[in-house]
Amino acid sequence: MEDNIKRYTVVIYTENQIGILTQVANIFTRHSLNIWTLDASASAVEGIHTITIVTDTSLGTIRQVVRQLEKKVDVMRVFHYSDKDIIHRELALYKVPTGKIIASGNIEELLQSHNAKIIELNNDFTVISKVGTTDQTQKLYESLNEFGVMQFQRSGQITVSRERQEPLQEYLMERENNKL
Amino acid sequence: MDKDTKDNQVTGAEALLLSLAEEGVDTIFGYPGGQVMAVYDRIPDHSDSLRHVLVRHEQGAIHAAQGYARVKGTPGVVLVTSGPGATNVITGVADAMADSTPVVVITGQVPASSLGTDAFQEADIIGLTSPISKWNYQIRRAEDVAWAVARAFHIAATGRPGPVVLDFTKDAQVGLTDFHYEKCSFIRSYIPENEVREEVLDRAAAMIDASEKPLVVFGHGVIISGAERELAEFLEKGDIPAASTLLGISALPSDFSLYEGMIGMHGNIAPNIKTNECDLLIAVGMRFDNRVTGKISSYAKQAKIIHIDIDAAEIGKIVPVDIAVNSDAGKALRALTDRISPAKRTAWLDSFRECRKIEQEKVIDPETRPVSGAIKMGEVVEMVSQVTDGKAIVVTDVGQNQMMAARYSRFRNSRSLITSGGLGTMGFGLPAAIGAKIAAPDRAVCVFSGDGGIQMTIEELGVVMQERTGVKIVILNNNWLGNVRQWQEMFFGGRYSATRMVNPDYMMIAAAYGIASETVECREELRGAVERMFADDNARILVVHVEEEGNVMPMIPPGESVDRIMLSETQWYGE
Repeated sequence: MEDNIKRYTVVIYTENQIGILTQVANIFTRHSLNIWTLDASASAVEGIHTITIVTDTSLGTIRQVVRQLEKKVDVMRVFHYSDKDIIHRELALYKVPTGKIIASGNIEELLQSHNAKIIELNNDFTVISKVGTTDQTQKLYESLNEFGVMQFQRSGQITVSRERQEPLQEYLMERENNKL
Repeated sequence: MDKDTKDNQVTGAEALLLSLAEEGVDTIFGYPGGQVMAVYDRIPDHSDSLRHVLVRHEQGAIHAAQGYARVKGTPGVVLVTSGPGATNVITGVADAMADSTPVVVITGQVPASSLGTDAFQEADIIGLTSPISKWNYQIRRAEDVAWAVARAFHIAATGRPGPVVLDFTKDAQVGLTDFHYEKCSFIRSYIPENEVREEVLDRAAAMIDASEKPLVVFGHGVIISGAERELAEFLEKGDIPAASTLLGISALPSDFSLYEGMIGMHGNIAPNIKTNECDLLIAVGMRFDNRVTGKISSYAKQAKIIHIDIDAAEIGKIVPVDIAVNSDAGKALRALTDRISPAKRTAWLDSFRECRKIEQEKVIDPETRPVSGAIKMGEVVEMVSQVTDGKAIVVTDVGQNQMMAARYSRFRNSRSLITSGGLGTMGFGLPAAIGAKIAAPDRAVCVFSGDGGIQMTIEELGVVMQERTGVKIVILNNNWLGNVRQWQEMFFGGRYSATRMVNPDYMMIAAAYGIASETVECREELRGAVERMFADDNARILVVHVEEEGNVMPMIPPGESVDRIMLSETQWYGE
């Protein structure tokens, strides 16, 4: 049944208006949904923003959330995806003590096996970056924590769908035709 | 800036009033204050085409605008100051959102440079109204005024209507701008209504033709769409019985042969019972509010469901549907009437008779035609209907007065029951009636209020006095918060907590405002008092001492299914 709780990624295309994030977040709040990750950035289309939100809920609730989001005047289109419908990544940054990782002798091997790389290095600390899923960034965190991770941050998840084209393009073309 | 340029330019405040004129606004309900003075300063220059109604509390302004909008079908306009002025309209914004009422609220705001500094009378009205408005926008530059107002009116009135809030900073009010007005008819991110595919309509029509026992339940969407005639034609061609939600009342004349009354908690027995007996439920412009459905897990489970609604977010929200028609009610009904076959469903229609008979005997007659005992609330409503011949606009407050007015008022014309449905806002009645009367000065407007609700916005009697608004105010006085008392009696073991009211002398209050009033305490005085009230063109207050512990019946208790109906505190329908 629809009561099955699953992970959903909601991709929201909006006009670039002040307060739009509040409006979007309000709808998640009304349904008592926890936002696991959130990303807001400019889309490929000038003036249109994309908000990507990951949450756990039922199909019934996510459909309702999508409709209520689309009802907002400044929201254009909203799509919801299961993990299998999308390719998604997050970025993680790790700050570790330089002395300790050099002393370990196997840092290069470790980073290679995690497909991570050093983006800044000084006498005091080293910053490592990794792109991956939450599971993958978490695994690297656990490995690096043997040296004592001084600071760790991960970004919100970003997503592309497995469909061929950006779904917004169709919408915009249709709306422009409507205007005429 | 040279002189010529300056002469071609106007202030943001002036641009606002010019924009309102472009939208055909003839009335503003408002209250001045520090951060909206620049706008108020321009109002006298527009007084030949724009009436400003000075309310006594900002909540009164928005309820009056709602009453005005519901009667006229065009947006009501509210103008208030920042901070407390703006927060005082919030209840009405939420109410207008719940009841799909087009309202444009303009709030003053501190200068843009002071935003976020906790300046005097600064409140984050954009943040506060975001979840309860259809759209809001902060105007921070005079040159944005025309654009924002055009957009506001387009959004408020199209699709599923609703409240829009424009927060107008002081510097934008006094700043200079060129003024060009262009009405808004297109917003790329906003699709007010969808085209329905022919195939969906064909399937719906086939489902209706195949149905032996269809039932139409319709709501406010029919009135908003102006689809009253389309509904009647559809029902007549299909010979389909129909019942209304609280907000759909008056879309069909009360004596329309296929009209079966109101559905829901205090609705009529027949349509509630038949909801769980029909084989097809056709919902038109309604949203399956829980006061309509009762226990959802046993609501119309045997029936196929067609849901016609302009708001896609309402379809499938509460009740899973077989066919979704995401469309304006009028367009959908026209298309369906064209497609369905003429039918006679005599046996099905006859089956409603038994329920009707029982309700008439057990509930309606004792409530509206008692011969002894205290005056009943329903009896007063019945008397008003008789005296006005069903032609009045009936406004209600919230509670027992509202249910009685909805159950026992008779209507000949649409847009004639104005009530706070979704939010259930006590205090709505009096100011909404003022707005309704201003919108329809030639019609009788009668508000039914309880002794509780009237005192929530009683200050608006000042508007009745100042504007000489000829509203008829009926206070059904039982010295209780009646609806809550009824629930305490029925569901909380009769423990009356905070529901007893010690009331003022309403006639003295009326006298203080210069409003004629009467008090009726016995049955014999009722007709004469009601007749005198409607014979007078001026405002009148009629205080009726009604049965103290009267209950609204029938009742589907909260959490019960629509076919579990109480006829009295001790008797269930069918037992």
